[in-house]
Amino acid sequence: MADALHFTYSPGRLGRREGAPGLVLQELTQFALASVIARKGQAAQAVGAAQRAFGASPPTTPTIAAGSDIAFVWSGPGHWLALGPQSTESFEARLGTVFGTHASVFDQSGSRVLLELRGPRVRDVLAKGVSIDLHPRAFRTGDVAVTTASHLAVHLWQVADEPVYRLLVVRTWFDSLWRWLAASAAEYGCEVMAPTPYTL
Amino acid sequence: MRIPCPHCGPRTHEEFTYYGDATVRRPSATGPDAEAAFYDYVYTRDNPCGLHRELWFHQGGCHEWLVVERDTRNHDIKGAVPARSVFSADDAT
Amino acid sequence: MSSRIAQGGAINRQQVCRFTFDGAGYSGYAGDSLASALLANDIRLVGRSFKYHRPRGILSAGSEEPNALVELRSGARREPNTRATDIELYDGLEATSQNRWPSLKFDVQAINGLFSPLFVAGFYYKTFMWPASFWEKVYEPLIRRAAGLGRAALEADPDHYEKSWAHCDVLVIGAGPAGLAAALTAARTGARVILADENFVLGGRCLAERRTIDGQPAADWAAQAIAELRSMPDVRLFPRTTVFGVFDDGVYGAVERVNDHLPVPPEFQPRQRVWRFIAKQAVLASGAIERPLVFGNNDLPGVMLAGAVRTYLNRYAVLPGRRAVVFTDNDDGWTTAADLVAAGGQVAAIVDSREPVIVSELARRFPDIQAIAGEVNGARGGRHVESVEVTSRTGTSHRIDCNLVAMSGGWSPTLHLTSHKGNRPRWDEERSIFVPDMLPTGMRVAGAANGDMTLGEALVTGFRQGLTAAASCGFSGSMPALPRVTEESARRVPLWRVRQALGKCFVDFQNDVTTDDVELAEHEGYRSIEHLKRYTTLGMATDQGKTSGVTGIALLAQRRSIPVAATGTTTFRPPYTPVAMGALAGHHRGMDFRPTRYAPSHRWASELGASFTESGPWLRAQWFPRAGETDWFEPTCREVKAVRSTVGLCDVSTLGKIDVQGPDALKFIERLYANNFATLAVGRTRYGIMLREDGFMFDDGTAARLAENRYLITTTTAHAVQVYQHMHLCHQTLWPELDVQFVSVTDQWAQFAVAGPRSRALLQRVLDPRCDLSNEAFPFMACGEVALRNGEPARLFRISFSGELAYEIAVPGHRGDALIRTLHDAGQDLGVVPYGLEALNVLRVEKGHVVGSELNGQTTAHDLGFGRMLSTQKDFIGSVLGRRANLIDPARPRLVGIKTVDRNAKLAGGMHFIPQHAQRSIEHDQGHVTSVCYSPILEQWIGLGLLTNGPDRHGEKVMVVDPLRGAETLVEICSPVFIDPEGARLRG
Ligand SMILES: [Zn+2]
Repeated sequence: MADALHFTYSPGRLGRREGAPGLVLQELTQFALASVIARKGQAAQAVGAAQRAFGASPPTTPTIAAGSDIAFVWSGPGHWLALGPQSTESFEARLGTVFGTHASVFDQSGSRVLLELRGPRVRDVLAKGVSIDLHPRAFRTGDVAVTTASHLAVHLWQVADEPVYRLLVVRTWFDSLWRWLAASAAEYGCEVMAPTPYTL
Repeated sequence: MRIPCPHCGPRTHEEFTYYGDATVRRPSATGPDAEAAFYDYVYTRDNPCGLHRELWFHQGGCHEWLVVERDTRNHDIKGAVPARSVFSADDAT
Repeated sequence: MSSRIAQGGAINRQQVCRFTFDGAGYSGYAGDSLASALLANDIRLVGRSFKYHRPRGILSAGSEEPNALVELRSGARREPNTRATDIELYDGLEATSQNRWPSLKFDVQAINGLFSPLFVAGFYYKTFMWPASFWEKVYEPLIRRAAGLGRAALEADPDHYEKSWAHCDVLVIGAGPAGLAAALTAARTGARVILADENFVLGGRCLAERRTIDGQPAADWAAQAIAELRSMPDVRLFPRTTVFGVFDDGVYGAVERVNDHLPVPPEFQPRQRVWRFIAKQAVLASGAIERPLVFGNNDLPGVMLAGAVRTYLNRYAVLPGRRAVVFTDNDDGWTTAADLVAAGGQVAAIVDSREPVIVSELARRFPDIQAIAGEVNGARGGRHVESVEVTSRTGTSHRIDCNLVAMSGGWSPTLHLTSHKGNRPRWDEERSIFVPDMLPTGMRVAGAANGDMTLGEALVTGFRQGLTAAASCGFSGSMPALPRVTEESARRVPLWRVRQALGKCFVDFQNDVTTDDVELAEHEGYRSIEHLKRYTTLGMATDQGKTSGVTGIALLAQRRSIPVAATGTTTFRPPYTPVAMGALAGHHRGMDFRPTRYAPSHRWASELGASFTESGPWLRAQWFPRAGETDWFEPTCREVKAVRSTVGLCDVSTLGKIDVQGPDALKFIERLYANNFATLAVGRTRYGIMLREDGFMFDDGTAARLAENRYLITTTTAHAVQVYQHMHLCHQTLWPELDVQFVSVTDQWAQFAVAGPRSRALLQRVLDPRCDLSNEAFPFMACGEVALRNGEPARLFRISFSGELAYEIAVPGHRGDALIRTLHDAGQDLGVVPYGLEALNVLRVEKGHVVGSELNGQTTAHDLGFGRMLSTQKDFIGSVLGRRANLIDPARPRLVGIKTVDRNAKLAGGMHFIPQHAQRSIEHDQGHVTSVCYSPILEQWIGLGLLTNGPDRHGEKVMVVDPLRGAETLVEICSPVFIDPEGARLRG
């Protein structure tokens, strides 16, 4: 859970109490995360290897590609974040075996906090700190943005048309992100759900 | 100001870190005039009025260095390309 | 409410709003502005002027208002300089007049007017020049009491503010007829449209005029247009939103007064929100601002802009005066006369400064109004206009009794936003107005803002510009049928000032700048319009010359006998109207001023009662006080002693960590670091220094070779981001041929120093028992993967910042909290002690390790004793310029240790080295003290410093001097390594 740092992530209602919440927020836990960076001139081979092993092609544009149990979040040219379920097996080792000499793999499982955001005012909340255009004409399900939220580096992607977003933020910055999110959602009311294990 | 990152799309300048002139090239460290060449490389800069090619780092995005063409008179950005492509092309020639 | 017209207006007579002005209670209606409500209550005197404290009333009906500035609300929410003319009336509103003492009606400083020669152009520069020592104590307080514009609240603002982004295809600025027309045609193409207007009701002059569009009142047409826009999903309407600035590449700044129309914002809602609109195209439809005419006492309450009179009549159903004189140099003034009559007012005369032939032609159309071809020489009255002196073209003079003067000097396009990016407007001689010339990329102008002053022109240009803006974004549509509108004329013959004036003629009301001031400034040589502005203050302060600017320019041109076009304009800069600092800061104030980064052990440390300090963005534990310890000194000394005698725990996760992999990882590392890494074996760590390309020290840290092609490098906490960027710069631009991959893993690894003679014993309790920590198996500078007792993986490094036997153990970030607790619990009987940043600093000073105070951007490797580390076998960043003779000069200030000769003396960082018997002056300065601490081991103050020829002077005694605080003491120069110079402890 994200509350090892300063504040306490606790389920309940934040901000306006009346009516349906404008934002519903839930921490997703128990995921494995790794940076995957293609070796020089090996991006296509790395993509092929992932496709064969996981049924997902690490994308070459800012999108997310999901396979059987691993999703690849675009993070830069030839650079992805692999996201999968937590297991006793080393995620880095598992990916390392697949990518071999095509890519370098770096475990990041402890580095980030993952949030899921939904609700009728979710775009309005995000607009208070995310400068990119999240209008459905500009950003759709499956799209990824590596950007900043309230000046903090995040990965943001859309997982459903409703819309539902996921936001991956650096753990040691999470407290500041949380304060911004809570303040930004306060006028619409925010329901914080109990953390739940990550699924694709 | 917004910079059209060739990888991420147009982004506000707050996501970027400015570095400087993208037209200078690191000289050889071994030549007899290496010190003079490095002195020039590190300290001597043109200050053009008009279009300028500059290095910007997409710190709040893809972590790629870009060569951005900016008009120093009015901050109009003409375009941005990955620094890798510019500097690799240099090597080829 | 004696001036309220019985019917009409866009006010809700069912909803009464009670308010106070200077403590007295009044009432108005929802839909009123504060100004209209004051006028409805026959309040004409609203404030005192800035310099002369002259009585001032309400000049305008919009954001251009220079006079009617009031303090809104009270206590912590008191806001000065708000314009009564665009404050939306609400129930419970409190307003107070400004700039008067002791009361609005009896202002003792109105006597300033008698001494007005003192206050002429440049009076600040002339009057308060000498003696200089008087400035702070006499002049400034005097000026501040006498002048100034209202009082800010003294308490912290209890409300919150926000910032937000919004994107669109077409941004329409201004929701008058042109803006509504543009929004309609753009939105009907399917483009995403944002329509913003500073007023609390959309509609602009459609609300203020008795004109018709296709046979229906303009206000009804506007209401229909707004309803249509509101029904479209991709249109966003922003009333109460001022677009205050145009920035680069389609970024527009705007402030939305979300809850300024309520006494207190509803819980959880911001008072204001600053928007950054990102628009592919923009249509500027900001309308026009009417110019006052320049005649004697034209600042008296009751003298109003003619267009504003119409706004009060038609929009607010208020008759601003029962008996009016209209003074105009254009056709539009006649509309005001007609509207006054229609509203039941009396128009004593319309005075038109133009040729009699024009006047009599118009007079035939207004048979009920006495028309005079001539000019108003001056207004008379005490605190309110009572009559005007008029001279006709034939030379006859009249005094006409009136309590309202409606003046019109024509309309100036509100083109400020067209020039925020540096473009200047163009003077249109024919129409005597500035019009937009070069425009910011993506901007178009429609309606009066472009000089197209009539309703018909506004609609046509609005429709067209909305359509073309949408087309530029790839959307197509067609022009609607052009509506039939009331005919009108914008003919004008400019009258910049009357020929004969009675009394002071004000050009800039807010700054009390008169025609005399403009003349005097010109006479004294301030002939550029920019100089005129600074010298006279014309066009300064909160209104930035919205009503005065063009007249000032024209008068200067007249005076200099040059065309207006040659005079030019002053520069328009954002913001268009004042924006509260709180709104610009938004969420980022107080502890959210900037983000805070919390170390993985933060919660554990706060449970132990640690005191925290900011270290860059991080909040780090400074010390861990125990019961009875009341200051920093005791816990710090105790923690240092514990590390040197038992074992201490410290969170060092804040160091930057970068994982480098790939076949060329070593090549890459070799080029980044100044020292050799080629000989570093797998499973070993080495200290490394990085230079900048100019040869100065950049950063230091360690590189651990985790595998054949994998290194984990650490950076200082302070330089983590710069080093990471630098590595990318080097890889992507200097050596793109290298097959190397790296990412920051600073957050992936929670890392703790376990330091002290018992550190091995403590770790053995925490690690898998199979893990061999003996010197043979895991010597100094070893590194490797280990397992905790519960099987979880960890990394172990045998590195020491304290000089003791020490390790750093790392686990994934989310396991950090558990590990620090495990370590702390497991070491209780070993005497384990958590230590903070202060103790860490003492330990490293005792050991002579450099940090940011020494890596200050001005030191070289040679300065810090690393000269011999610099490899001569390879090219690395800084290798060439680092060899420059001046950078390796032994006479440079170089690193030394210092200890006080008097064991009781104290040291302070920043003290300067001065030879013992030399004068304490800059010529004898030989460097400075960079770090100091009290060493509980040596039981005296010690420090590190940069001293000329330092390493050659060990044993010498030198003065350290702190001239700022008047302290000095004698120190002995010594090796910077105070403790265990042989390194026996850390290899133990
Ligand atoms: Zn980018």
